[in-house]
Amino acid sequence: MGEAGDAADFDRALEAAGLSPDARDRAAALAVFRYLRRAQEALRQAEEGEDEPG
Amino acid sequence: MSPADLPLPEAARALRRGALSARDLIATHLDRIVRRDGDVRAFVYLDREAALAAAGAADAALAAGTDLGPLHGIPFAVKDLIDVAGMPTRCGSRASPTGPAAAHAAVVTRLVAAGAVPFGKVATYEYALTGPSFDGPTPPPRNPWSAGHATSGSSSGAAAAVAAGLVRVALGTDTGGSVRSPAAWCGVVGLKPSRGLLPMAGVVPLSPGLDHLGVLAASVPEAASVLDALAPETGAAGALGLGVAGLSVGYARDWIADDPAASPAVVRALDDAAAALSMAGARIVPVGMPDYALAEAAGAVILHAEALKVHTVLASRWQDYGRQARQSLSAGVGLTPQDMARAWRQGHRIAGEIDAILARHDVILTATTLTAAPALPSPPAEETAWSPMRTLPFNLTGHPAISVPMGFDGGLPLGLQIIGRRGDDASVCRVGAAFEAATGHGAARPYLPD
Repeated sequence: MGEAGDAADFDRALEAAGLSPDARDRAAALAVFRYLRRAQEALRQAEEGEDEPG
Repeated sequence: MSPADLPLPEAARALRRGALSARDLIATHLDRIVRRDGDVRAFVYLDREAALAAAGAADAALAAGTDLGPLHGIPFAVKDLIDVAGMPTRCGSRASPTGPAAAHAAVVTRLVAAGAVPFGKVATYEYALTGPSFDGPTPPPRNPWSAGHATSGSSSGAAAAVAAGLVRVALGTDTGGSVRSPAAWCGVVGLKPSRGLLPMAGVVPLSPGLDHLGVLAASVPEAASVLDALAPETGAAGALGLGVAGLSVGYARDWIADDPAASPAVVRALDDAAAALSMAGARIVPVGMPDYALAEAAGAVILHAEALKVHTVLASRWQDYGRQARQSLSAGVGLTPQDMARAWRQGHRIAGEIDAILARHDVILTATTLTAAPALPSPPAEETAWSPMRTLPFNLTGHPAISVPMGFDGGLPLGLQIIGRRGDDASVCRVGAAFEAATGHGAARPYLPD
């Protein structure tokens, strides 16, 4: 999932939550959303690492 | 010396021998706030007449032989996220109600029952999220050591007020470091007790799973005195004189030194702190810590998911929230219950790793932040940003932690963080007090004209 995919996901999630930020808020919030995406991925990988045998 | 500068035990003695009245003590603080807080901007609400009346009642009780203990007649400030009956809880936001709270938060009730007098509300980052922000109902506090540098937050007003000598003790909240980090950057003591020790009723939540009540104070004994009034079972004040001889201190140096973002001055101060505790008789043993990045990832996911859930009116009151708050809250829209469950599983695993270290050592020693306070951008930033703290893991795990002053970098304070076993809040106070006594760092105060 690239940056464009992140942005599209973010916009869909905002819409679902009933939020409509202006461009400035959207840009800043998208940066945090991407940070959280990396955090989600790190947590997923950590669990997969724990599940690996040996 | 002004009565406002008397450490709480000395003020308590003066009150009992009749050398000082609670009314005069509070009046001195109120007068100092008038003179200094125009620059510091720590207080967002003061009720002078109610405070003087409550202090007068404390004097009358003492004169009649009713002594409620060490905090009888002592003023304290309260972060504007915590209810005080008769005062508004604005949470640093235009989105919050402006009317007075109907009742005290449970922790305020406990301090009032111990004779202490809540006399004002101190600033918070908006809903304890991020800051400093300049579009809220009041401008952010300034760091008393340097107006051009950050205070950190979110208990920014409490830390600035204590550092500026406006009050000796204040209640704050700590969800990711919001007591300890501003304490470090403002050069005061910040205590985050064990999770679950203090009741959260009457406190506006940020992230219920990570939220902790906390105490900001001019010294460790004063923080311990407040903790004892809030939770006598901790026995914090009673442990203060025990020193550190024979204690084993796990030294998490590499957790800081290996991070390229850490300033050399912080690492040097941390080494000096370890040496000071060694000279005082503690055994210093290097320890490896859990992966910080993973702890931060787990904490950030929980915090953003829970905060968005708390703010059910975000969509309908969007324009009433400040930019940083709505940016931070809206960023959590992509988080799922599965993410939360995964984050908590990692949190429990990390807590187990910390428990294993603390099975071998009495406390862990590390830095509170990676740097001293950074300069504030000019013009002020309106985008949300993280401070370089090392505090969030212990909100995730629930271990008690205290930040105590450990020296300076370029005239700006640095904080030493001491972490203890869950439920052993007394040991973090004990080691903090021993460090404070051995070094004298906690006695330094910024010059502010009276």
